[in-house]
Amino acid sequence: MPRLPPSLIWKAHSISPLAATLLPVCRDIPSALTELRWIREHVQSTSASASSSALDGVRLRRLCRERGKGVPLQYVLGTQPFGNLDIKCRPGVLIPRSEPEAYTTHLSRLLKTGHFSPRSQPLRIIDFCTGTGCIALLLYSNLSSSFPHLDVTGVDISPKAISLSNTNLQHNVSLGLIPPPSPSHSLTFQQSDIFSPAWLSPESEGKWDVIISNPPYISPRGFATDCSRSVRNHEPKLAQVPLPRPDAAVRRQEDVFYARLLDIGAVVRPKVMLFEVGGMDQALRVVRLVGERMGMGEWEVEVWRDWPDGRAVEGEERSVRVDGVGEVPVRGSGHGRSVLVYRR
Amino acid sequence: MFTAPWVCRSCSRLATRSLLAGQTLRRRASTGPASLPPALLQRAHKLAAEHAQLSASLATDFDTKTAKRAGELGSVAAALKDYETAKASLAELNSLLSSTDAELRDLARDDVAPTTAQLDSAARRLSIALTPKHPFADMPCLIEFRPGPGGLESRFFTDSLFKMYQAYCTRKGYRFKVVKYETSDQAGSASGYASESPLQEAVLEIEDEGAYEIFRAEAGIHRVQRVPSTEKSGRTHTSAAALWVLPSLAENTTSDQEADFSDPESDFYIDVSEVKSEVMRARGAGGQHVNKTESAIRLTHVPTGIAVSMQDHRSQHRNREAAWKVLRSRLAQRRREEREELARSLRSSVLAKNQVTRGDKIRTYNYQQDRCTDHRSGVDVHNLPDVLAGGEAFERIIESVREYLVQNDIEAAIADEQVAANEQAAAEAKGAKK
Repeated sequence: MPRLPPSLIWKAHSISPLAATLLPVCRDIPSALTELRWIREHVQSTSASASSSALDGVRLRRLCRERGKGVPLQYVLGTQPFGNLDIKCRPGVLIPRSEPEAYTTHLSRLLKTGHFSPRSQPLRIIDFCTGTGCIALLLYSNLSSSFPHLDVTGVDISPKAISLSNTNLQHNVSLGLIPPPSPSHSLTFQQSDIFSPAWLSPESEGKWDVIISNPPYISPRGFATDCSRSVRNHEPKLAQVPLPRPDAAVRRQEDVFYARLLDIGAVVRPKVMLFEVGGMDQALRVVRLVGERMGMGEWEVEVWRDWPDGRAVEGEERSVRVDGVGEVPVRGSGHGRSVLVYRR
Repeated sequence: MFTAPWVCRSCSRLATRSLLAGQTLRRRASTGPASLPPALLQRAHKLAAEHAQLSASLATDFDTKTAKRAGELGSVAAALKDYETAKASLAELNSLLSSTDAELRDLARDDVAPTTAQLDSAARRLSIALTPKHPFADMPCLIEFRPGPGGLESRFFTDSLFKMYQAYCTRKGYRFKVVKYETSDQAGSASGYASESPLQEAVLEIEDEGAYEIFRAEAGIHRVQRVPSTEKSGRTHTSAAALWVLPSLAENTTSDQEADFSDPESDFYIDVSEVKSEVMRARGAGGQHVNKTESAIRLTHVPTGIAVSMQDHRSQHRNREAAWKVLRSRLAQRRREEREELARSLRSSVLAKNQVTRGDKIRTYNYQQDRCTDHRSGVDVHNLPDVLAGGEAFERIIESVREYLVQNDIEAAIADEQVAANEQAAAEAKGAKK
């Protein structure tokens, strides 16, 4: 990372010493000021009592120092907005990003318009590697008014994540952002390893209509080179880099979850599957994997970019040829971000 | 005339003026009824007749559209009725004045003044009822604040204005929220009067219905004259800030308004495919690799080139919604202005001078003289701190401008009626000639 010029630090300091504290992590003055404003708003809104302004000042400085050292803003403030929801964040659980927000919103729009299955039928969704529960919660929030019967399940291996996702469910219900679960609309989280044999048992056939997942997909090498320092130092590696598996069917360590998800998909036979990927190269590998493991007879595949409903800018291909699969449409703009598989 | 041997001219003028003023007032009051032009009265009769007809049809079968129209016309019909009653009683009084019975004459004379006042107020109410209501009048509004040229000083002053409107809304109990508040980082350590920030752009939303009508007269250039806090040699600077008042759609959209915004005929309609949406792109690989906090979003309406960028909130979702809201409002205002421009060019040029466009300077805040002047209503207020705190003094200014605007609208409506009547007369004359 390039060194910050002292003049910039001086300038930030002359506006506000706290802005200078945030500068090492924000890198420029406008974003430092913006984050300072957010931290200040957070301190004011969570102030213990109106009279303790001195305490607030101490807290503000402490939070700014923490943030300046590289702790993610979401851990400092404890929350991250996700769609219309407010998701609580804690160290040990991956922070929700804006890309899942975009593709989850886009997918719920397609589900709502009956793109994949008629709206009168019950809709059952499973979200693997749910983390904070953000994707499951957003789907539940977006779809519960359109489907008479909705069932969403979030699965994660980490007990921390399951406890946090349950907290998030209660938190958003208490804020009135989502309706409380009822017999016809349910949202549950369960702790389970996706590699446990139970997921492949024949009785899970037809159990879910939608499988969605944001699994760990970064290679050990990519973790060292592509990840930003704040992510490496503060966010859980478990949620980003798959553990090596000796029995894995794929050569690359970063792709093991996709092989497993597709195996589960082959048993469950859902209507729609959507998996987040790390980039266009990985997206194409997953597309090939779909061809190998599920056959292209009854499945359609699409690659979605970061903003699947955006307009492609110049230099962004609208489709791509994949060996053994054929022409695959690429939607939206940005990096290759997710792979959609649906039954034709 | 005076007991004093000599009185200076200006004093004598002062002493006699009140006397003369009283006379002119009386004279004008007695001619009051004649001030309502026949064209306007004719229109009132026409609308009242329509109202009667609609009410009759409503009694047999109910229809929401008819009911709405009848409701709109109701105020005209009621005002016309009041006016006619007052006119009739005045005529009766006038006939009594020439009566032979002295006692009756005295009684009638006592009644003339109040009845005349009644007639005047009825005439005014009638002309207000006949003035077409602004189509956005019932809506909430957005007020946009932009500093004019003048560098840092105008940014500081724009912040003061922003705070003034906030304080005013708080005092009046209006519900408001800050949609956008963007300061510039150019200021360095400099700061303005009373902890002003260098404002780059701000948007204030006032959520009460009818807020547009209350604040629409505030749009225009607000000028400030003061010695900037950054000025070393104590010279007074003049700078300015621009305010735009835009209609906005209510948050909890009723079915009526929802139809408003998906209806292609509506001013608020935007074809989604005409809007380019841009977000901050993450450096590098994105996804799990980075954790960006930028949530800025920028919408551009391609056909008009109107662009809105929003980065206030941590939630991109909320920024996007806010950006859409501002974009819709700006577009609606623009469409409306284009139509008004067209209507104005058709209207007689007599009124053109009264029209204030957004480029005109409407108000001056002079710190050294502790004065705030509105250039349209001509009202001077000499308590600037109270004005800037959104207090009584500020309310006086707002009220005076609204009064001015109502008067203006009435004159425009009368002119429109007269133009229409003249045209009709001309057409009839032509027809008679043939």
